[in-house]
Amino acid sequence: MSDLAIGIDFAVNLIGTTHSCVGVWQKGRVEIIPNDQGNRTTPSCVSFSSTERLVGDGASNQASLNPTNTQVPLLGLLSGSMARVFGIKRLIGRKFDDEEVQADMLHWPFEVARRGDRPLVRVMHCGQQKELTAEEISSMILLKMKETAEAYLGAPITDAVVTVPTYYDNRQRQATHDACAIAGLRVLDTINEATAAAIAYGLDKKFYKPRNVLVFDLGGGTFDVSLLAIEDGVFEVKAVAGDTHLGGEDFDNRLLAHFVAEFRRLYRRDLSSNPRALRRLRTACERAKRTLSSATKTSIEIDSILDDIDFYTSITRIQFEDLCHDLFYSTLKSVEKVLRDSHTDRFDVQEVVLVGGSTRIPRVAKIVSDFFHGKEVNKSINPDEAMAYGAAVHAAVLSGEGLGKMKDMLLLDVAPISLGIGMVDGTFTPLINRNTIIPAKRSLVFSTHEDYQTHMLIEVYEGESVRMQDNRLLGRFQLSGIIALPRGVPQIEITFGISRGGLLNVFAMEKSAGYTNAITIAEDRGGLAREEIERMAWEAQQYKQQESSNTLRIASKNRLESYVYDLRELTATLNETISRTVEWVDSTERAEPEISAEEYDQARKDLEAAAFMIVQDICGLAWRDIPRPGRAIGDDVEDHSGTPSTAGTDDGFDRRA
Amino acid sequence: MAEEEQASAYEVLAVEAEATEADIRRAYRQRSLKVHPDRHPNNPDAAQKFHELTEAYNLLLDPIRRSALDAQIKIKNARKLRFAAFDSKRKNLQEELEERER
Repeated sequence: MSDLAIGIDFAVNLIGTTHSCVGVWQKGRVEIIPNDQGNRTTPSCVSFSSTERLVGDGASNQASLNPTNTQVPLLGLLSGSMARVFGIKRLIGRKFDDEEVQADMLHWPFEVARRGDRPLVRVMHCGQQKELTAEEISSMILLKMKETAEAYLGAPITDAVVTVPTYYDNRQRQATHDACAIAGLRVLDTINEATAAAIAYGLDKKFYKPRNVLVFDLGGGTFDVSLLAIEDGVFEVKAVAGDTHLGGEDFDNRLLAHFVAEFRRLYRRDLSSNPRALRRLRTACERAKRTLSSATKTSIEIDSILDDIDFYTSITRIQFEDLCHDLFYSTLKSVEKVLRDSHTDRFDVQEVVLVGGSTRIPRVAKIVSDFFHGKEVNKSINPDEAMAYGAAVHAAVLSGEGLGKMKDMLLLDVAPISLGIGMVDGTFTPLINRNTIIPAKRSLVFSTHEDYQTHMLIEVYEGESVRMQDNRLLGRFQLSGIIALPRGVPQIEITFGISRGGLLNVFAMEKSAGYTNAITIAEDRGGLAREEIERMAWEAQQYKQQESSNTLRIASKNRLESYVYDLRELTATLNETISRTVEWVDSTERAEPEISAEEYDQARKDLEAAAFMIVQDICGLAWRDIPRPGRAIGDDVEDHSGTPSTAGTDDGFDRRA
Repeated sequence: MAEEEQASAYEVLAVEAEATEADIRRAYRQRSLKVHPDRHPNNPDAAQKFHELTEAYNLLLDPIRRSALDAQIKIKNARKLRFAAFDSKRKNLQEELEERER
């Protein structure tokens, strides 16, 4: 096994499209690893068809060819993992035909099914309908990244650091861990995207005075803000904030709504009831949004959008900015929150770093710059690769690989959301406050609510509201065996521990009896059970085997085909030479003057030589040791290619002879 | 016991009693390089040590808790000084008293 650990960025990097990127620390620096197509980022896209499953570039190529097919694009991946949480939040207490639920589903080019409270992605694969969890789909991308790294490094990889949006909650982080487990990766740590970007920004700079760096990460679907203090290689996260549902997609939605309204005004027809028209318009909106980052005006032209109506219109940058004005400004709320939480004045922020595709929108950069009193914002880091770079550095530190150069590098990350316990009166008592440096632990002593109570239900919540219902339930566990005493007398100590990767452990102890009960949210969180992960990992292996056997099958078929065609060509040449000679011999019967013995011998020799050349070529075909220019198949010389070809040669030769 | 633990917050961070907030932050970062579990993947005590460091850091950054700690230290030092000034008879008496109270 190799000691190398890789860093995988698993994020929305470009506007509207999500790419994953993998990096490794080698020879004292980070290498971003190109995939089998030579690209440094891989579209986080999986597509299913009747015969095969494609991941990455192949899938996204197919997506552009056949946009209505059953592909699950990158969007599916990330909003897939988000769908778990949003889905649950939005589906509870709502009808399935609720406007909001329907609206979300309209945006996804795949069908969403539900099992229990878990939304599943429904796809057709090899003629079978399959329902996949967001973790499974994510694991396919992660596996692809793992294989990319393995092919490049020539060694098996098992350890990785994976990025997650900074404001991901415990459940979403856990889902990411599960996806890695399915892909056969051991997660050394999950690292917040903004933090990873900060590492990429600050690693090679030497700050002898502590510098406050604000990372503003507005991507395709999520928005994160982190404030870090960087000093001598120590990256201390002081506060984080964000919105897991604000990004480029929301700007697309605004544009979409604008054009749907315009269409209604012009043609008195409703586009919103036609999913296909909406999808085409959405793609056009996304393109228009990107264009408006550099141009001040752009046009949209869609032929036959509805029946035979051609929709030609245009939009200016000012109009676009006006449509998304409130969304742009809502980012500042998170910036303010971060500054407030870390007790930092905006003048004390020495550097503002912009990452994420949506920060290419000039207005966003302007708003951030104005907020910091016209401060120049830093856009120098590569938004596509920065996160993988940071993750690879962290992976190197954790695996001990980079200890040489990075002996002074340390990351002090924080818990993004408060964690605590729901009380009987419906209030929420946080044990770990947000922005606590992790790893961390904290204990509080609670007591019973009723006289002679022997059981206690402990509910673990996550959130910032004092009301229990407004926060998210992570898990519940029963503490039994409490000694029957009047209420308020037993002392139950509850300890919360947050380990690396932001995962929560909860212990409870009855202090007088010393009875303990511990839960890890990993065990009781309404997520995937261990058996499910194992089953999915097994299925992932099946997919892989199926794919590799498919690749082998196609390669073998290609070899046979090329051999057959080459052989036919050669035998045709031989036939032609033979028939020419036969014709000549026939014509010599009545020839004047008579053909001499020497001439016949010469003709025989010519034919022998020609036949010899051709047979030699045929033998060469079989052994493939004579490289022939212009051969269609570029497949390599392989041992087993000889066996069927030899048989073929004999065959062909016998018939000729 | 709690008193002893809190009294050592300055010692845990290895800063002077007059340390400013910037000093404390700097000391915390320097110390965490030495004890953070990321740097000691094979040491099970690292998490505990880092936890103590973080606790001390949070305490000193909280002005109310820090002034309470300062007051405690002051009282303790004053008591020590007074005790040192006692003659041997009073020292013995006090030690006996404390012994019995224990």
